[in-house]
Amino acid sequence: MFSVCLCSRYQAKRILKYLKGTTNVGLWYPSKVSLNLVCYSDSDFAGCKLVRKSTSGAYHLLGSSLISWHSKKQACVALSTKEADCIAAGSCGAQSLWIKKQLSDCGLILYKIPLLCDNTSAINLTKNSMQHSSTKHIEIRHHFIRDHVNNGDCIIQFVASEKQIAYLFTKPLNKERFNFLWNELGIIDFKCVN
Amino acid sequence: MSNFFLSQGYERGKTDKTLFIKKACKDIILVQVYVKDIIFGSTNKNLYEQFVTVMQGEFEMSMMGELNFFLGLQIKQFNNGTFLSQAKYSRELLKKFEMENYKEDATPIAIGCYLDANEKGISVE
Repeated sequence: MFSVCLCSRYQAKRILKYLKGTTNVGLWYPSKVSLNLVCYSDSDFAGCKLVRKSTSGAYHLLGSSLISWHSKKQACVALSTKEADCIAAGSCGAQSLWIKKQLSDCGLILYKIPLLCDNTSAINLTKNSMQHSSTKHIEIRHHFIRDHVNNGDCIIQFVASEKQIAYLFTKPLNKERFNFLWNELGIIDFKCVN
Repeated sequence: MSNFFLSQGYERGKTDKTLFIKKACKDIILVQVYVKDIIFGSTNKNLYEQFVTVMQGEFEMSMMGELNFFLGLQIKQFNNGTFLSQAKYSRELLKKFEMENYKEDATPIAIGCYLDANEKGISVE
């Protein structure tokens, strides 16, 4: 059931206006770049004002090319930013495992895929095997990502907030920051090609 | 069709069952089948030409040339890279809502904008 309010009607219009300014913008995939997979994951904490669920945002870059991304409301409610980030890292990790498998078909074998996250406590959560009472309810996700860290499939690293490109999917940003992150993702205007 | 690929020495992708790969020495040819469309790429021109002749001999297919439109994406290929965009789709969308002459906005959402449910609203669905 949906009911459209004035606010979201205004928001829909804004998105279309944004689209108007970015009609000729697209993704740039440069040739002859190294093939390293790097993943960025982030979450906003309790971003949904209705049910207080958080939003996960993730990017997967192969070399400097953006190959996969998602921005999705999490399925369960997180009690802290740490948990929200841990859940986001879980879904980002799952996607990177799929990409890893896909690339192995093409003869590219990857180990220890770096998964960049800007929350140190979420990172510690994936390293520490201790059962925290605060994480009991997100146990499965927590174990899932830790298991893959132990297997050497991926490695979770810290990234400073300024370099966290996944912000684009979780928070409203100003024009300057927004355009900076665009560049980082290889999103460019067609005029700038060649 | 997949049996034909397999008989030609292609390997089926382990995750994506519609991806076919053939490796010859250092070269590789990738064939992605999507319903009735096929896109393919190779590191070697001979492999690619061989693929075109074999496919045209076996199936009633036409070679569309260099990839420039696939699944609604516009693709432009250059020597130094590839550019993907949805310019056509976004222009059509703006036309549909008669917003071609509207002012542009730099970001899709305003800072500090929170979306909420309209409690007094009438359900539309």
